[in-house]
Amino acid sequence: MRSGPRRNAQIEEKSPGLLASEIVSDELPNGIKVLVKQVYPARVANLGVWVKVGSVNESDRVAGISHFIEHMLFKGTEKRAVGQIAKEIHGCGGYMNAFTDFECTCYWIVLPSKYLDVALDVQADAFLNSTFDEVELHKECQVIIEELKMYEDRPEAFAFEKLMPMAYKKHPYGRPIIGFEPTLRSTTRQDLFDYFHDHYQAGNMFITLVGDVEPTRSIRKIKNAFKSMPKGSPKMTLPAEPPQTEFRKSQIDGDIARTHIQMAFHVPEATHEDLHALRVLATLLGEGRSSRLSQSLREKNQWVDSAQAGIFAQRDPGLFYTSFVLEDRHVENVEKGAWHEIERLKKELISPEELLKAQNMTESEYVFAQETVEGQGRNLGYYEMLGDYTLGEKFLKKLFQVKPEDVRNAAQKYFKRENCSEIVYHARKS
Amino acid sequence: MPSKTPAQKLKLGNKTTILVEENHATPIVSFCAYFKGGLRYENEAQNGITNFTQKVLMKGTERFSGEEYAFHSEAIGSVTFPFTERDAFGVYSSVLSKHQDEGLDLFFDAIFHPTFPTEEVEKERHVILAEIEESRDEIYSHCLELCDRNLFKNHPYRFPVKGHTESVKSLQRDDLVDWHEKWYQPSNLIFSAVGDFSAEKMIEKAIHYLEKYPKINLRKHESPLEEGKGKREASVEREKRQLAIALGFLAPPATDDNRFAFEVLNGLLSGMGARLFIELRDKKGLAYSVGSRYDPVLDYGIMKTYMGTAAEQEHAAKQGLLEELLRLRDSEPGAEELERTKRHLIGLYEIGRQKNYTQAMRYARYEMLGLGWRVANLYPKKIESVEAATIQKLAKQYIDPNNFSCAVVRPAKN
Repeated sequence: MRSGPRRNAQIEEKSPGLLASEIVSDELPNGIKVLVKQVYPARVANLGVWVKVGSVNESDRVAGISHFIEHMLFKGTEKRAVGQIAKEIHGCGGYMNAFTDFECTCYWIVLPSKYLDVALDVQADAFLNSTFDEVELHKECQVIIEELKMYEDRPEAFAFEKLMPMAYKKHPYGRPIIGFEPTLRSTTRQDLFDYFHDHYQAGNMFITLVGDVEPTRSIRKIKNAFKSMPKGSPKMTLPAEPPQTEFRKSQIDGDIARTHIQMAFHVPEATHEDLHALRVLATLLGEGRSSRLSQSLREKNQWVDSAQAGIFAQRDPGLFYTSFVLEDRHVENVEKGAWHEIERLKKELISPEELLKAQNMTESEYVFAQETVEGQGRNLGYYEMLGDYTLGEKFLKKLFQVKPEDVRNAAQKYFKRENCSEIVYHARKS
Repeated sequence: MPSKTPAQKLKLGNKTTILVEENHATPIVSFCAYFKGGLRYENEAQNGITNFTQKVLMKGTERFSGEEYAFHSEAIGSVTFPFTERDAFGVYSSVLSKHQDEGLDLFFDAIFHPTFPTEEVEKERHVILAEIEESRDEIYSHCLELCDRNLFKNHPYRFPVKGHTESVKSLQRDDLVDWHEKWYQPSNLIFSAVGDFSAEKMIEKAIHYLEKYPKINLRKHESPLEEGKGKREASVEREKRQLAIALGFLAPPATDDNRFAFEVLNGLLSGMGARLFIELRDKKGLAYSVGSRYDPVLDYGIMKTYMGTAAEQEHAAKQGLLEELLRLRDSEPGAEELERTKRHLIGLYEIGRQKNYTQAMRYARYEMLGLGWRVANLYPKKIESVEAATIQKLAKQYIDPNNFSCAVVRPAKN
């Protein structure tokens, strides 16, 4: 076997169905952008309707309203009763879901491509004719509160929810997407209606369609389905997060079996050029069993059950984070060990082999995500949200241009103690 | 247009089964090594041994230390997962097609040449014990596990895959070595590969790796019979905000003629357009998470319905789940609902075919069950042929209001 990994970006070498150049882009007269990608041979399609509205657009009073609307859009229209939307998609052999993020809300359907017309009819009906019925609203509020409680019962999600407002004092990334129980309970039908009409406008939306579909004909159908969506493109300026100047740490405890530590460093927005080196850093530090944190803290010292790193990459400046699951008595060792690995990256250049490993891992991750129409649609939408659907491929090409010096420079620039927030969620055994 | 060629099967002299299918839709290759084994063959004292053995496979081989193995494997961007099921275990791996040769080499190296270094065994024991402890933090999986434990009295399906603290503590390195020698036999292996490769060359490579091993027959296995009767309830309290409840029933085993009909029965309950979601979430607002699953395994099938809800809704949740289950006994599903459910299951099957590893696993599993790999491609026909009367008959046979397991994880009162 070869002694080391080979270098060459897969999408340059062989790329059936993976290139952004294969995407057909168009715009409806009302301003909705459409991206269609024909892929073979699976006879399925993914239709995603994206709205550039998320929790960052909310005021404190109605925190959680973007997600609330996401739930209500499946709860009946003028021509479809409660449950009818889900039944129709179910009956086509597909499934539908939606997610609300900080900056966007996406409604997607995956189904056999022969039923594309049904998917379009259902999505357009939900966007144009949802009733926001008062009785349904109260029932759905209870469902959302159960969802909120479910996340709060998960230690990792709960710790992250506590970490975000420590890192973001001004920017709304600090507020949980799902909102709070009191804001959800006090949200009225009128609030939902107003917020919906303020943000669900054609210029604030785009549609992705990936699958066994003919682009020209599909675009015609999309145009027809969404032609009545009102024009408009709401603008909003978000408060900038001031630079962090002191190390922030918070400790909480709960009836959990293992302790969770999460650390976050401020980094730039997703399209910033430093993100390529930061991506390499995240992989080197905390992705896979060969990563530095995993080798050092899990394999060599057995201080953690798991160690991970990643990037919260958004339109506005994001976070580089690490997370650990451990026995409570190892907290101090883990903190010291994590900082030791971070300091090493600031001082020493990484080896070419390690760099190439990180690049190949990221490339594989990217290609694996393209295996399904769902993955391709999500990928397209994520980069379009950042301003350009071709950014994914560009990112990968630039990633292979990263040098060991770039990685060290990024570590020195961002891995500063005063730029770090840390939460420790201690296991208090019952 | 990227092509897809039909699957091919080959049986080697040592009884190894090889299944390959070309799929050039994406530059990805997935391998699956599927062995009969798993929980079904464990006992109380050795519960968790399959999972433990699996976890140490990649922690050192005759050629690489654990660290080297992880580096080489990740350097080619491959993702490799050992898995343990109730009646099977194995490893699957996906890699970009340009790295398929290195990927396949590493794949078989871990499966057939692990060295089980003592130090790595101890480290992994530590991690598994931590995972067992941590599983209490996830109330849904904790509740489903409780439900299994309660559903079976004698059969090893009552055990958790990870084992329990005492059994994992007592397992020795030699136990894992013996377990590996017993179960990881080519004659017990179905190797399937799906993806962007030449089928001819993949078969050649598989033969190269596999034909050198001798044929060793596994001893015939008799599973204990299950005698569990009556309503069995179990509950625990945790300092959580939600309550999780699960109801479990025995169901047709994987090789039963009614297995596909029971999949349709479960489909009537599970999913966003199905009964549990519409009746209990949409109409009653009882839950965010509600559903049903049917695991058709070798000796018994297992069906569980579950819900996460508010503590004060425990009674309503249990009643709601039971009512929906009993409705299946009371009347046949209507024609429209039945057709819709069938289309849903067939659609999900088509959607799942996009992933090479899903297809590789499907081929291997049907082959292991003795139904034959071709059933993976006949699934739509099997589902289409299910009749409403069969569903009601099965509901009456299996959904017995006097014989089921109920598990609840409740929020602690203080």
